[in-house]
Amino acid sequence: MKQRGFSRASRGQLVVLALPALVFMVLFRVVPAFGSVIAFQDYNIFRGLLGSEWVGLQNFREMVLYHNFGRVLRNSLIIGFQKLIFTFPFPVILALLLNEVFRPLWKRSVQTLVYLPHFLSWVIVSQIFINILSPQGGLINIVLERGLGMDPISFLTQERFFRPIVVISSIWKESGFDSIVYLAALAAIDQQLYEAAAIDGASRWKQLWRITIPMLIPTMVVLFLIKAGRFLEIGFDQIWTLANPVVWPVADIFDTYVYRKGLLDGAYSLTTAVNLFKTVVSVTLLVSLNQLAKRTLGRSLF
Amino acid sequence: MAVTSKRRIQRNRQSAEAHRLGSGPLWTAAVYVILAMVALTMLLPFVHEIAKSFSHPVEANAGRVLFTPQRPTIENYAYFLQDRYSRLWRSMLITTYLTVFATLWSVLLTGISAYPMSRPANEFPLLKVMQGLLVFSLVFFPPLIPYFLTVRGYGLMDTLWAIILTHSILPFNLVLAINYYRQLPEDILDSCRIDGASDVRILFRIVMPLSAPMLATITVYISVLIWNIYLHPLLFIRSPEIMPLQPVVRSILSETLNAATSRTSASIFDSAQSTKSALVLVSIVPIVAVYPFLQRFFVKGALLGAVKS
Repeated sequence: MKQRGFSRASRGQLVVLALPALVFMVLFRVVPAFGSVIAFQDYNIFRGLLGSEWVGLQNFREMVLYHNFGRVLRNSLIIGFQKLIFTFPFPVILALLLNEVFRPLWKRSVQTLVYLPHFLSWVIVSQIFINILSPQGGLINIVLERGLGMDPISFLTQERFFRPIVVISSIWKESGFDSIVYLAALAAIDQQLYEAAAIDGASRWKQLWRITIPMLIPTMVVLFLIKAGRFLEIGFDQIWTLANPVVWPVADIFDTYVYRKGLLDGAYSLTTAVNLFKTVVSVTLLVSLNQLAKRTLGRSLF
Repeated sequence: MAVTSKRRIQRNRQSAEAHRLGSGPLWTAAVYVILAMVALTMLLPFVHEIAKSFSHPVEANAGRVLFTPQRPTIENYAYFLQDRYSRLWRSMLITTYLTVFATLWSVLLTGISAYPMSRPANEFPLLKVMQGLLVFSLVFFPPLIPYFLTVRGYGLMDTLWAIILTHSILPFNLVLAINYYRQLPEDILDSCRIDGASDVRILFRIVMPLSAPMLATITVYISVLIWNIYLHPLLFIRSPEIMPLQPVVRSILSETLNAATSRTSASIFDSAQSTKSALVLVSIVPIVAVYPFLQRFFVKGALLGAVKS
C-alpha cells in the first residue's frame, strides 16, 4: 500500500464526515435493537423500558401457546416460499427474451412498460389488482363472463385465491426490474462464443441451452441465495393492502400480525417476542446464505 | 476490470449482427409473440383502468367497460374536487415536499458519510467499527414495536421528521456510494492532497462532482421510496394536515368502499368502480410524469449495487 503522510487534522476531518452515518446507525438501528429487550418484559408504557417488570421467556411461551402464532408462522413460510419459488424464473425468462430482440424501439418499449410497476407503491398496485379482479366490472371477470360464460368470481374474498394473487402481483410488479441484473449478465457474455457456435451450425435454441443459460447460472445462483435469505421479508405493504378480514386466516404474516396485534391492540411485549423470533430466523438465514454465496461463487451481498 | 468489461460490452454491441446468426424465422416470431403478450399483460390493466375512469359509474359497475369508455364522462375525476377530498390534494403537496426534502437530506448525508468509509483503515481509524455497523444495518431491521417506541422516544411523533430522519441514510445506498468512491482514480485525489487540499475540500470539490452518476442513482432510489412510503406514516403520523399521499389514497379507497353503507345522501359516484379507477390514475400521474428521468438512472443503479464481486 502506498504510504502517505496524514496529519491529525485530516483524520479528524474524516471522523467528522463519518458522523452522520454513525449517529444514524446508532440512533435508528442499534438503539431500537436494544429496545427489543421488551420481549423479555411485561412492558408498561408508563413505566418505560427501565421500570417494566422482567418476565424471562414468558412472552415466548405465551406466543407459542396462544395468539395464532402457528397460523402466522405457517402463512409467512408458505407465502414467502411461494413468492421465492414462483417469482424467480420470470425475470430470467424476460431477460432472455429481451436479449433476443434486435430492434431498439421494441426493446426499449417493452423495457419501459415492464419496469414501470416497480415505481408504483403497493397501495396502487394492490388497488389495480383489486379493481381488475372485482366481480363488479373487473377486467378478469368480464373476460371470464364474456369468454367462458362464467359467473363473476369474488377473487379477493376467497381464501384459496389469496396466495396466488400475492404471487402474481409480485411477478407483475417486480419481474421487469429484477430482469435488469440478468440483462447485464447477458451483455457480458463473450459474443465470440455465439459466432463460433453459429459457424458450427448451432441453432439459436441450441445456443440458448449450451451457451446462454450455462453462462447465466452463476448470477442466478447468487440472486437466488440473496432472495432465499430474504424470504421471510414478504413485505407489510403488499399483504396489508391486498388482504381483507375475510382472508386473514391465510394472509396474516409476521409483519401484519405485529402491526395489528402490537401497534393497534397494544400487545407490545408479546408481539416484540414474535417479531424477534422472525428477525433472528431471518438474519441467520441471510447471513448463512450470504456466506454460502461467498464461499461457492466468490460473490456476496456484503 | 471495469474497463475491460466495458470494452467487451462495446465489442458485443458491434457484433450484435453476428448475434443473429442461427435465428430462424420461427424463433424470431416466437420471441416477438411472447414479448407482445408480456407487454399486453403490463399494459392492459392500465388501459382498463383508464377506460373505467372515463366511464359512467353505472356502466363501469355493470361490467360493460373493457378497454373503451362507455357513456364518457370526466365526473369521476371531478368527484375528487369536492371539499371533503381536499386532503387528497394536500397529501400530494405534503408528499412532494417530503420527497424533495428527505431526498436532498439523505443524498447529502450518504454522499458525505461514504467518503471516510471508502478510505483505507490507516487513514480512517473508525473504519472497522463503521463497517460492522453497516453490515448490522443491512441485515438487521429492528422489531417494529421497539423501533416505534424509540422514534417516539426521540420526540418525533406526528412530525415529518419521523420519516426524514429515519431515512437519513439507506444502508444499501451507503454501500453503493462507498463502492463507487473506491473506484475513483486515486491519482487525482493524491494530486489534490499534494496541493494542500483538505479532505472536506476534496470531497465536495472532486469526489462528489465525479460521482454525479452514482448520486443520481441513489437520488432515484430514495425519492421513489419516500414517494411511495406507507408503513412509516401509519406508525408515526397522526394529524391529517401532514399525512402523506399513500395512506390518504388507501383510506379514501377503503372509505369509498364503504360509503354506500355509511352515508345517507349517497351519490352514484360513491363506492363506484369508476371513481376508484380515477383515484388510482390521479395518484400515479406524478410518478409516470417523472418516470423517463427515473428510468435513465436506475438501470445503472441496479447494476452498481447488485452484488459485490
